[in-house]
Amino acid sequence: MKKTCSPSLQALTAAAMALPGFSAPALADAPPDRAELGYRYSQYQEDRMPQSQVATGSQERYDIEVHQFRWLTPLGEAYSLAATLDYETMSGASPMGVSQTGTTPALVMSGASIADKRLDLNLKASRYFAEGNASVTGGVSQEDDYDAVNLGLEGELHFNQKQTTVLGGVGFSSDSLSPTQAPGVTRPTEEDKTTLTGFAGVAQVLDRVSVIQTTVTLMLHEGYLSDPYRSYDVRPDSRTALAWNTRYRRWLDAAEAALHLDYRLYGDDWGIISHTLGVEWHQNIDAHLRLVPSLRYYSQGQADFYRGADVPGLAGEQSSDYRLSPYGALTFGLAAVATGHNWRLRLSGERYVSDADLALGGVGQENPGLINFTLVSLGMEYLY
Amino acid sequence: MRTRLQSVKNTRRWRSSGLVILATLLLSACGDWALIEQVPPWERGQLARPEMAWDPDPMQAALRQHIYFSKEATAGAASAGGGGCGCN
Repeated sequence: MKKTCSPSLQALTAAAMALPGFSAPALADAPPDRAELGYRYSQYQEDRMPQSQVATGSQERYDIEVHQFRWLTPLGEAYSLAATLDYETMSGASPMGVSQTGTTPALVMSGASIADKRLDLNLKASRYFAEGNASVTGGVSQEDDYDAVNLGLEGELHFNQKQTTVLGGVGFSSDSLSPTQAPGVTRPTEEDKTTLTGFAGVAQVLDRVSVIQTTVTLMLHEGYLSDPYRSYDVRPDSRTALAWNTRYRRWLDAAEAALHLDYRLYGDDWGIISHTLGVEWHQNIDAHLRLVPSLRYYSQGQADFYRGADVPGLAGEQSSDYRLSPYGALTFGLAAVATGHNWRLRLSGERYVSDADLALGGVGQENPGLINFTLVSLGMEYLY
Repeated sequence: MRTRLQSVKNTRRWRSSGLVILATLLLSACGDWALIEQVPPWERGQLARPEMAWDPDPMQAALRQHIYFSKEATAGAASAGGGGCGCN
């Protein structure tokens, strides 16, 4: 028997579907019904390195303060504009290499005098159609030693009574590096790199309480891909990477909570394969308060040219960067979201720990540069 | 020799990963998949809840994405935008 529904119920449902921030597949495509202005302040702090893991230089790592601004507004019946502005100030020290004395590798650190700031502006203009939407994105990022410009196109098309959504997009980024010079150290003066990104995927409403989305992203990097601040870091000048993301959302009536499961499989032609699994539990405490505990697990293998310590004079590619080493990491998070008629307040904290023992598979020697960090954020949003 | 062996192993792992991705996409695109129920629009109210969005907190998602991009070897999301380094 064919189901019917009253006009008033349909109107109520349409209103629910137009909730700000909701971009789930297969539902009515329209700009958000209210504009939104948001600000978020975050403190990111990496743990100090133990003396035993530092050969020379500072034991300090990076501290970053982040100010994020976001503005989202409908423009007429069929358009919207989103703008984000991030301002970061960074200070601390970073690894310049790894030396091997005896059997234990130790970090060669810079002095604790590095200071930089980053300004990042991104715009997204969207057009909504009866059966989909299309967006143009563009952004610039500026640091003392790094400039980047990006452009992108993305869109969604709905099928099967808007229960199935096909999504995709392409992006291009052009980056310029002008490393800060230091006396007695030879560094490149000007380098460039470009990145082409393409993604395609499908989102599906599975039943009245669950949706799934799966996408494949292809990334092509060309140009100077080494770290100019490391003493012995020579990487290939191209990198092709593929990431497969799957995201699942389920509403649990009995618990008044939403379960989020995210998984990403990544592989590239540098020989790195990684697995990322994220779990979040969005628990409604009452109509105005939600608590969100989260857990993320990450494991990566090493790059083909990774070395546990620098080899001066070696011909060809090498890097002792901890980011190219094999390791695993866990992130524990807790967020609270308070909601009023036209505002939201968010408070969150996260703790990230990385360790060779957390990697899938065995790791012979842990890189001494692995980081642990704490991230604390306070955000507020005003809807009008 | 070790690098060559590693490369062969990686190629094999790549191929098997690619097959899994292809199979999943085909299954996902199939409207008659047994796990999928037809849900009329007026029964999708729970799906419209803000906490059911792919990214309920866009600023937090952007910040996390940037941190992990800077501090880990691998990245990649269903998005065409973004850039910059902040890599130290």
